[in-house]
Amino acid sequence: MRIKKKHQAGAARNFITRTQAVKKLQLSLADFRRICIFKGIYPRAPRSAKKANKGSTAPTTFYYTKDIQYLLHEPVIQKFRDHKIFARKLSRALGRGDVSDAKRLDENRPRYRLDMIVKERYPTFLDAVRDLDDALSMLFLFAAMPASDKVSARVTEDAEKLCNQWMAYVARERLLRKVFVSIKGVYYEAEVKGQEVVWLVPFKFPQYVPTDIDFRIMLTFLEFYTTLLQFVLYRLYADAGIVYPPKIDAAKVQGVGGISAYVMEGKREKESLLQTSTIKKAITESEMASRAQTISTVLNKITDHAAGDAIATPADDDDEEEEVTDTLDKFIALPSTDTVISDIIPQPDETSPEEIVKTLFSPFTFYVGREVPLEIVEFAILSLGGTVVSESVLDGYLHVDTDALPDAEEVDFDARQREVDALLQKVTHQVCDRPALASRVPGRIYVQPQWIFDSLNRGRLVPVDEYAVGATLPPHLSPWGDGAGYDPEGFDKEEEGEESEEEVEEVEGDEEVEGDEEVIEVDEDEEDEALQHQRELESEAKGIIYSSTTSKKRKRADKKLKKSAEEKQAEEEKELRKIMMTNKQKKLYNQMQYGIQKKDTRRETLKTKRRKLEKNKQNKKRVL
Amino acid sequence: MEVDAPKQLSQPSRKGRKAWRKNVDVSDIQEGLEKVREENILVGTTLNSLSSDQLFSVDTTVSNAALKKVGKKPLKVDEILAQKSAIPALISRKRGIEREAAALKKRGKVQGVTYKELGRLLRVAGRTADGKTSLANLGADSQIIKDIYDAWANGSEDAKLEDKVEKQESHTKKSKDLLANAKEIRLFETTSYAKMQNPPSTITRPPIAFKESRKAVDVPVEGKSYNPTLESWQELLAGENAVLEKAEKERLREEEQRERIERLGELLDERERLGLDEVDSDEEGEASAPVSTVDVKKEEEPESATSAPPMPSTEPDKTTIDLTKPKKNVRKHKLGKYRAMEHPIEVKLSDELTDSLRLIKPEGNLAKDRFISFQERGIIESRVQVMPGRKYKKKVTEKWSYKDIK
Repeated sequence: MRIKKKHQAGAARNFITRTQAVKKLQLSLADFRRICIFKGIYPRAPRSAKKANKGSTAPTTFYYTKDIQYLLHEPVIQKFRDHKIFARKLSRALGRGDVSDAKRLDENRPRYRLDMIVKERYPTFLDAVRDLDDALSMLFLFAAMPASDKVSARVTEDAEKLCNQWMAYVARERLLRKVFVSIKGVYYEAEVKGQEVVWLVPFKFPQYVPTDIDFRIMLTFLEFYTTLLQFVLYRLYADAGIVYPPKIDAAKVQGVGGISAYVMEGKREKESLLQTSTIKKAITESEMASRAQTISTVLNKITDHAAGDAIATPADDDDEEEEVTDTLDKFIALPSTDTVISDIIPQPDETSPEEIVKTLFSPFTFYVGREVPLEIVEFAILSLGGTVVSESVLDGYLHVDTDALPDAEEVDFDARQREVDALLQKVTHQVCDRPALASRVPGRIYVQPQWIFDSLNRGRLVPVDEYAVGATLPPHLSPWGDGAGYDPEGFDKEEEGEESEEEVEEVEGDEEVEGDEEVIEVDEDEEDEALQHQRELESEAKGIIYSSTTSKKRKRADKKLKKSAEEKQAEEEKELRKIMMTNKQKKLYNQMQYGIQKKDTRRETLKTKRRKLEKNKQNKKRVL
Repeated sequence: MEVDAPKQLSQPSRKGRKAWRKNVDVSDIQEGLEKVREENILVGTTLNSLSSDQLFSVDTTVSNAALKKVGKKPLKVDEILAQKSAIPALISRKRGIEREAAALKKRGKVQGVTYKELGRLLRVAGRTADGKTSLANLGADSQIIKDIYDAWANGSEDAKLEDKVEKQESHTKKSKDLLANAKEIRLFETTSYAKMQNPPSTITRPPIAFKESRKAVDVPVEGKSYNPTLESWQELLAGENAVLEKAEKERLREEEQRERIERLGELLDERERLGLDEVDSDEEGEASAPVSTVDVKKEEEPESATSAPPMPSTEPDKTTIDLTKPKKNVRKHKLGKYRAMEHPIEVKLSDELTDSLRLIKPEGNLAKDRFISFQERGIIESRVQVMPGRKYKKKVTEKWSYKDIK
């Protein structure tokens, strides 16, 4: 028999310490950490660190040996090594004063790309979409970060660009489902390709850059996520038939920035540019005026931007055209016959709640005051199909500093004023966040920004009166709330349902008795035994059998008994099944039950609370 | 032209190195070199390298100056001086570079590289005044991919190539061949860049998380709304308060412990000073034993254990699930040497709460939040920033120059 040596098999073989891994890959520690982040290789915890570390109990980080073995094949690692050589050459050239050599070296610097890694880590597109939460949160964070010695200005610029491309896509496709304004930032949830994507956006305030976090790691993550998001965006844009990367309207970037500057150019449109332009010429002036003009169209006109042949906002004429042509065919299932059972598949319905949300704001034009954070409100409104007119942009448009203009163009302020007036006539809602307003325009509805968020979260237009200017706002509830599936809107219906059931039973009971042409009060809850006894006597005198009066009562009791018996049986069965489970299954089952029970209790407490409130209300009414 | 007979016959023996060199006929090469040199002196370069329009020009106009000059004969001295070589004279290396640098500096360049660019190169190479390379300079490359393609299309690499060829819009035979070749190469490539066929199963295992939810973005509790319900806000406040209280208790306990140790130490010192160590035999065990934190802990623990009444024996019913029990398969221990960083307290006090977006002041730091999230989810290991300290102890010596002063 061969002698088994220590530390030759098992944990000692399966795990490798960080130092060993670094040595094996011939990298610096910093590069090792980078490649681990790129490739998604995480530190592991062996059951016994002592066994894995060949008898040593010193605290170390472990990795799977197989993972590290796998890394040996990575082409990016070779690029890291090349970069090391380049750094040495560059340093030497500069030390010698060979500046032109140094420049040549820098120009031919080894560069790596992460697209292969993205493909490897996310074999399907949906995998990538599922993992977008991290990427988006990271990019939005860096987009709002000030450039410093840790973060270069270019990094923040790139991040901002990608973020805007993402928001432009979500707004155009109307995919936004939830908004939650918290004290940390704004949480958004969008449904992209059937996947829920949640991300967090910081408020646009100067951020404090913490010193105790490692920015090398953060920037490595950012690098990977930037690549990932670009590929995902490319695919999403391609699927939506839009050209990627979208063009940026320079004029609008100067004005507001944000998503309205992104020109979403359809691929079809690009192909038949001639046709569309002729179509547009055919549209008469009056029609143009009647159409809801967006601020972007106005700004397009400022710079003679091809007379607005590509307009950013989704409430765009092109979209409208598309919508008309893209109306869904209705599929009607064939009636089932004896031999063939027709399979009815639910078809997308125009009246489904999701579809309603998408066009919730489409008839409205919002005038957003300059005190309102535009980037949040604009995104929400656009993704509900509304149109945005911003006060700050209009101000910039009307009060242009003529000296600052590059060309000595004559600015026709009167014409501009007329344009703006026409635009303002279309406004239906004014979003305002001030304690009081000096003057009000008749015909406009004044709301606070929270109205938009709450409407989006509820999926319908909530009553405006609670959100009036100066009014104390109702609390802004989390759309993910801890309600555990409890629906405050559906509460009334539920309660009614329960009550009506009881009523039906009562009615049935009445009918039974009425059949004997005798009206007997049946309100068991209030009658006491004496009364009942009296009744029994009476009925006996009339010749009604005892059992018929009490039968109903019995029935109910029986029902309850039966129910409880059934429940008991079911529980017993469950117990039996549980015995048959393996330990692992049992644990999983318990976990599941834990979650379900937690939800149930929460829902119950909320319901009882509501009931109490309702009772209080009724009592008050009675008192009044 | 007359063709010469082969020179072979007149060629003497070439045996030996010297003979080989001596007897090789290099006259034609010599002649050619001589010719080139002459050309160089006259023109600056060889005539071959000049294009024909540089060599010749057709003068169609009559120049008056030339007509006037016809009669005049140039001075001999001028003629001689005019025969100067077209090749510039040699200058010493040092002076030459200086002159060049000065000329370039006038244009703001060193060896054809702008000063701005040079500064960047120096920073990338870590040759800055403070000797530090800032991250901002290293990661300044744009990550925006210019030639982006659909990564998840079928055979996307091929699609990318096809795209490229299509873009050129030249469906020539050459481009098609190129495409076919590239495909073939990729199919049969055996370099280290070949994709690993079977990635290990371990790579798909999820990281070891420290918390229940493995979500990238944790959905916030209701109390963190900018305009929360009173109830949820109170809940949040109570929760955060409990955390703070616990930390404060811990701090107080540690402080007390430290004081106690100090007191004991003082006592010990005093005894030593008085020489009481040998005298008191019954207290010796307590006083002279090395005071360690472990002992103090042990002393404290039983007290609390005895003071608490024994719990009534309520065997937890295994069929019912305890709601207060935390979920399993969440790791409590640290991964590596350090624990994950702790979240800062994120709560608004009652006077800070506003129901207006305009007045909101954000709480917490999202950069830190992200970083902690990575640590909690086990994606990165926790590390603690260690400032490099002094490697060796500072050695103090007296300068020998003190002898000079008398």
